[in-house]
Amino acid sequence: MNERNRIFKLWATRAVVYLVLGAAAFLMLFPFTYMVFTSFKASGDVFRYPPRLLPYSPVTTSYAEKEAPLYRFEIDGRVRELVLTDAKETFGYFTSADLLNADNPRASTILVEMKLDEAMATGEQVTVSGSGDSSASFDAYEVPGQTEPLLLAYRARLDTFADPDDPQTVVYAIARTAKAVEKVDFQLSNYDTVFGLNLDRAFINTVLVTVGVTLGQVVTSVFGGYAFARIPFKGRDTLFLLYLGSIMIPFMVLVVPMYKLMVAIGWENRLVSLIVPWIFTAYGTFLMRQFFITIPVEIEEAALLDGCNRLRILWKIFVPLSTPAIATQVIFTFLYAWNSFLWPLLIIGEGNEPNHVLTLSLIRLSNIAADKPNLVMTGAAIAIVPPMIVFILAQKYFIEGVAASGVKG
Amino acid sequence: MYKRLLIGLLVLALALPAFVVSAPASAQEEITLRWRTRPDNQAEIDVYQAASDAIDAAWEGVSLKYEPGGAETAGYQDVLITELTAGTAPDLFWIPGTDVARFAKLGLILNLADLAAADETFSVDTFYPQIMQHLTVSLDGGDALWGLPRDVSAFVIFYNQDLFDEAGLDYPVDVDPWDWDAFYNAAKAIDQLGDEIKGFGMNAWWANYGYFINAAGSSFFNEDFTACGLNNSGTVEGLTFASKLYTEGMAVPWGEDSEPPFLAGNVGMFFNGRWATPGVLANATFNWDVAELPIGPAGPSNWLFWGAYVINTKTEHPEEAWQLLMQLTSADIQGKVAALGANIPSRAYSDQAAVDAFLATFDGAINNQAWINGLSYGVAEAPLWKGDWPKIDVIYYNGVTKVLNGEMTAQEFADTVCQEADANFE
Amino acid sequence: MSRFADLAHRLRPGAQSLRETWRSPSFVVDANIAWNHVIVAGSVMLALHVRNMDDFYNLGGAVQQFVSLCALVPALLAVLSSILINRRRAIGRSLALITNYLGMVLSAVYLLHLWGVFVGVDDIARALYKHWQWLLGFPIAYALLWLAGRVPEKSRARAWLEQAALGIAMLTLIVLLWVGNAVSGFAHILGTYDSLSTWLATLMILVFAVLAYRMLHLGEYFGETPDQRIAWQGWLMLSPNAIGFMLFFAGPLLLSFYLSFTDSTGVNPPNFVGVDNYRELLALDFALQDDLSVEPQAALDRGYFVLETLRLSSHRLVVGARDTQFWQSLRNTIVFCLLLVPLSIIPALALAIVLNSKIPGMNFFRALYFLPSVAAVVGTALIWRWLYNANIGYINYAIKRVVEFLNGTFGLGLVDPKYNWLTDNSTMLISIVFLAAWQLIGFNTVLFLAGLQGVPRILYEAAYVDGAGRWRQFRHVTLPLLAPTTFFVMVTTIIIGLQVFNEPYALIPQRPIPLPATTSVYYLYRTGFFNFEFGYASAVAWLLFALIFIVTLVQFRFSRAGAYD
Repeated sequence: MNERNRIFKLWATRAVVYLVLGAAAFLMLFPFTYMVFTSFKASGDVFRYPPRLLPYSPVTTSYAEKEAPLYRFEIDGRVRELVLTDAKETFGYFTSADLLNADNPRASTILVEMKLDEAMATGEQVTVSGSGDSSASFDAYEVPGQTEPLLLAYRARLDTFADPDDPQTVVYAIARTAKAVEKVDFQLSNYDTVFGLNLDRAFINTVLVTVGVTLGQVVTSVFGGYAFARIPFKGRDTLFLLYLGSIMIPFMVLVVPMYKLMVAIGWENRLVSLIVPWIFTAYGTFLMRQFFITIPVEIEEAALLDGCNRLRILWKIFVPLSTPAIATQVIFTFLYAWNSFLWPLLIIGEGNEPNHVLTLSLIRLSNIAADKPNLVMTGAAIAIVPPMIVFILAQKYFIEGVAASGVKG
Repeated sequence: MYKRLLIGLLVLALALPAFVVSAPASAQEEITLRWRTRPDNQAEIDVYQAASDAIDAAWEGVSLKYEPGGAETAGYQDVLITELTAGTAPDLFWIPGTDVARFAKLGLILNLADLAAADETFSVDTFYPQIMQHLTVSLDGGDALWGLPRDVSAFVIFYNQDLFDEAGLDYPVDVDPWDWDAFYNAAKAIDQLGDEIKGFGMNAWWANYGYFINAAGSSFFNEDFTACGLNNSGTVEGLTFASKLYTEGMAVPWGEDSEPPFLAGNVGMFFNGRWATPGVLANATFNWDVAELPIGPAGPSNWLFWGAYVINTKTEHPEEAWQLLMQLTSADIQGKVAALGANIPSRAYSDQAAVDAFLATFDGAINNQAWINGLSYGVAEAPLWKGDWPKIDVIYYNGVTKVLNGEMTAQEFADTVCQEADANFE
Repeated sequence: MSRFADLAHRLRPGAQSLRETWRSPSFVVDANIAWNHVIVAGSVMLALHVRNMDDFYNLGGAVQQFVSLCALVPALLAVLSSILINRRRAIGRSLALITNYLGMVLSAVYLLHLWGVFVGVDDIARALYKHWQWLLGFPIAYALLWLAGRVPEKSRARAWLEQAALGIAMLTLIVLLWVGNAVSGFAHILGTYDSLSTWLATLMILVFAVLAYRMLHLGEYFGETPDQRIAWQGWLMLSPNAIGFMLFFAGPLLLSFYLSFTDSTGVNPPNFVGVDNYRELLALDFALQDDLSVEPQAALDRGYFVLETLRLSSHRLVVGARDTQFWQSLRNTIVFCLLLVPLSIIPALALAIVLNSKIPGMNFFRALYFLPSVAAVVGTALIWRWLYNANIGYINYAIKRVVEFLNGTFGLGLVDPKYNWLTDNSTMLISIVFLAAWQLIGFNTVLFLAGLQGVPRILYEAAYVDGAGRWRQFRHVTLPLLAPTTFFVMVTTIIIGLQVFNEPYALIPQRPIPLPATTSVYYLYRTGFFNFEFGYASAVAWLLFALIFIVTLVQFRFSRAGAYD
C-alpha cells in the first residue's frame, strides 16, 4: 500500500467519522437550538406552519392613523407592498356543474371569481353528485360576462389590502395565507419579560440552594466515604448495606413523612428545607467510597505509621487524589439540586413567590403563559443554560470521574 | 457552695424541655387570613389580586394574603392536599364542585351551617338552587353548608370569525337551527382551509365529552347519583358524533391543549367557559366572538359549572374566614370580578341588575348572552356524595379516550363502562 | 447524694489543684454520672410531653407512642453508661461517648435553630437578590484563576493572577457580607440571648463537649483496645453523614413503611389494617373460559376486573385484578424499561465506538452528547412538548418532509402518518421513552467509553493479524470484553426507568395523566396526592422498591461472578 493511498484512506475514514458524529450531534442538540431561537420569537411567530427556526416579526406601516402590517403582492408582474385594512368583502367562486367537485368544492376548478354582490342569484339550485352516493346542491348565479348561469362553488370574505401611497390600488385576499413582509427580529425583551415574572428571584434562590447543597454534600460524602472505605469498624457493612438499599427507594415514598417533619420543625415554605435535608445522601457517600477504595492502602499505612491522624490523611492524601471523583460529585449534586422539582413544588407554597426556585417558576410560567411558548422557551433557556456552563467548565474531570466510579461499581 | 451550684444546674436542666417545646408564639396585632383560588392565566391572577386588595383595604384588623395557586396542570390540588395533610393549607380556598363531597367526608372543610345561621345577612336563596342543593348535603342528619360558589359558568363556543369568513360560512349566531349537523359542516369546512387549521377543539376533561353525552339525552349518573348512568343509547349517539369529529381529523387531537392553537388563529371553534375570556381577550389577534353550544338530538344542553370557596377545618379564625367568604361572594365583589371578565356572579340569579351588568361587560362587544342562555338550561356539575369521583373520572376518561381515538366503538363503551365504574359507588 | 457531695468536695479549692482534679479519671466519671441524671430527667420530660400532645400531626397513637419511646432512648443510654462507667467497663465509655457526642450535636443544631440560622437562609437569598451585581465577583475571580492556569508555571504573571483572583473572591465575600447586613444578623443572634433557652442550649453544648472530650482521652483508664479505637474513629468520621441520614431519611422511611400497613388518608389518624393494602394491590384472579361468546368479565370473581385475556385454542384465559390500574401502570413501567434499554444503549454503544477512535475532536463531541443529561427535565420536557406538537411541531414536519421526499423520489405512495404524539394512547408512552433515551444516551456513552478504554489494544492487533475484519473484531473482541460494562449500564438504565416520574409529569399535558402513560411512580403519586390514600400509596412504593431491589441483586450477583472472567 503506498503512502498516498494510506493518507487518502485515513482522511476518508475521518470524514466519515465526523459526518456520523456531526449528524448525531445535530439530533442531540436540535431541541436546544429550537429552544434558543424560539426564546427570541414574538408570540404570533411561534405558531407558524411550516415551522421555521429564525425569529421574524411583521413589518408595519402607518395607515389610516394606525399601525398595520404590510403584505407583499405581485401586481402586473411588479412586486408591491400593500397594507392590511379593516374592510372585508364577500367573494363568490363560480364554476360550471361539470367542473364542480361536490366532495370538496374548494378543490374545484374555478371559472370566475368576483364580488358576490355583483352577481345575481337565479334562485335555482343544482344538485351535483360527488364520488359514491354523495351529492350537494349549489346556487346558480347570473355572472356578468358569462352567457350561461354558473354555480356558486363556495364563498369567502376576503380581507382588503391597500397601497398606503396610492389608496386606489386595492387587492382582495386572505390575510392568513397572504405573504407578509417580515424581517428577522430577535425579541430580546422576552428575557426581560420572563425575568420580570419572578424568574430573577428564582434564579438567585436556585444559585443559593445549589451552592449550599453541593458544598454540604461533598463534605459529608467525603467523610462518610472515607469511613466506609477505609475504617473497618464494627457495624460498618450493615450500615453500608442500608445506605445502598436506600438508593433504590423511590423518593415519592418519603414525601409525606418528610413534609410532616419539615412542618414539625418549622421549615415548610423555607429555602432551608431545600438545602439541609439534601446534604446527607447515600448516593454521594457511595460514589466517594467507590473511589476511595481504589487508592492503594500502602500510602495510608505509611502515613499512619508516621503518626498522621485520620483527618490529616484524608485532607492531605485522599482529597488531592480524588479530584475527578469530587468533580463528579460536585456536578451530580449541582445538577440534582438545580434540576430538582417535585420537592420544591410541594414544600414551597405557591403563594410564596420570593422563595420559588427555577423549576417551580418554570412550571408556573408554562401555565400562565401556556399560549406563549416563546416565553416558556425563554424560561427554559434561563433554567437550562447555567448547568450547561458548569458542566462544560468541569467536564474533563467529570467524565474521568464517571468512568472511574461507574464501571467499578 | 459547689453542691448548690450543681443542684441548681440540675433544676435548670429539668426545666429545659419546657423551653424546648414551648416555642415562643409571636404576638400578632392583625389577624392574617390566607386564601387561594385556582387561576388559569396571569390575567385572572391580576383580577383576584385586585379583589383581595379591595377587601383588605376596607377591613380593619384583618389583613389578607391572596395566594394564586398553580393552574390545573401545575398541581393546584396536589399542593393543596400536601398542605392539608400537614396542616398548612390556607384558611379559605377554592375547590372544584366535584371535590366538595370527598373533602367534606374527610373532614377537611368546615360545616358552615352554624355560622350561616348566626349571620342575618346571609340567605341561601340568593345563590343558584341547583348548586346549593349539592352544597347542603348533610353527612350526619343535621344542617350542612359546605361552602359557597365562587362563580358559575357555562360552556360557549369561542369562534374565529376570520376563519368563518375565509370559509364563507355564516357565524353560528346567524345559523338556524344551530344543531349538530350545522356544527359538523362548519367544522369540516374550516378544517379544509389548510393543514394546520382545525375546525374544532376542546380540552380533555369530563365536561367536554360530557356535553355530547348529555346533549344526546344520556347522563353520567343515575337520577339519585348512586350509580353509573352511561349504559344507554344516548351515550352511544353522543360519543359516536364526537368521535366522528376526531377520527375524521377535523379536531385538535383529543388531549392536546386547544387553547394555544386557537389563540394562534388556527382553530375555528373552541369549547370553553367564561374563565377563558381574559386570556382570549389579551392574546387573540383575530376577530372572534362566542356562541351557544349547538343543540343536540335531545335538545339544548350545557353545564352549570361552579367551584366553591370552602373554609379549612383547621383555621384559627372561622368567624373571620366566614366574613371573608361573605365578602368574596358578595354582589359587590362578584360584580367587580365579573366586570374584569373572568367569571359570572353566582348570586346574581335573582338580580336582573347584576345580569344586565354582566351583559354589559366588554362594552357588549362579545355575545355575553350566550352564557346566560347556557346557564338557563345547564346541568349543575355534581359532587358525588355516594361514590369515589376521582376513580370514576379516570375510568370514564380512559374509555372515552379510546372511543374518540377510534380504538373502541361508542357501543362497546356504553356496554362495558358501568361494570367497573359501579364498583366505586357505596 | 453522697456522690455529689464527694464530687463537690473534690472540686473545693485546696483539696487538690483544680488542674489535677480536671485530669483525674474518677472526677470525669463522676461528673459524667452527675450529668447523666440531668439527661434522664430531660429525656423523661420530653417523652411525657410527646405522649401528651393532643394532635400528633395526624399520625395516630401508635406513632406517637413510638416517638415518645424514642425520646426515652437518651435516658436509657445515660443510665446504662452510668452503671458501666462506674464499673470501669470500656463499653460504658463508648455509650457515654455516644451520648455526649449526640447531645452536643443536637444541642448545637437546636442552638442554631434558636439563633434563627436555618430560617435565616431566606434573608440571605433576599440580600443576594437585592445586591446580585456583587455576585459577579465570583465568576470574575474564577476567570482569572482559569487564565492563571494557562500561563506557564512559576512565572510572575501566574502568581500575580492567582493572587488577584483570590483577592477579588475575598473582597466579593466581604462586600456581600456587608451589603447583606451580616452585622445586623450578628446582632440578631446576640438578641436571641434574651431568652433562657438560648443560654441553656449554649451551656448544654459546652457541658456535652467537655465531657465528650475528656471521655475521649480516658482510653487507657478504660482499657481501650485498638479495635475500639478504630471503631470510634470510624463512627466519628461517619457521624455528620449518618446523623443527617437517620434524621431526614431513615425516620421518614420507617414512617412510610408503617403507613403502608394502615389506611392512612394523610389527614386523619390512620388505622392499622395489616397487609390489606398489599393484598388489594396484588390480588389476581385467573379463569379459563370455554364459551367465547360470554363476556370475559363474567368469568371473574366479584371485585375483580379484566386485566388481560389470552386465547388458548378453544379456550380463553382471563386474567383479572382487583386494582387494574396498578397492574396497568406496572406494565407501562416495564414496557418503558424494555424500550428504554435498547433505545438508550445501542446508540450509546455505537457512539462510544466511534468516539474511541484516535481522531482529534473526540472530547468535544463527547461533551456535546452529554449536554441533554445536564438539562432539567422540567425544561427539556417543555421543549419536547412543542417538538411533539401534532400540528406545528418539528417532528411531524420532519416526518412529512421525509415521506414527501420518498414519495417524490421513489414514487412509494406512502401516507404521512401525522402522529398525535402526546395524546394518542399508542404513542404517549413511546414519546416519553424518546425523551428519556435522548437524555440518557450521552451518559451511557461516557460509561461505554470508559469500558472501551479498558480493552487492551493488543487484542485488536492480534485479531487484525488473524485477519479479522472490523465487524468480527467488534463481535469477538469488543462485545465480550465490554459485557460487564454493558450489564452495568443496562441495570442502571432499568433502575432509572423503574422510577420514572418527572418525564411523564412534565411532558404529558393532561391531568390526570391518561392510563396508557401512567407509570408506577405517577400512579403512586396520584393515589396519595389526589385520592388521599397515603397508606395505599406507601404500599405501592414498597412494592416498587422490592422490584428495584431484585434487579439490583441480580446485578450484584452477576458483577461478582463475572468480574474476573
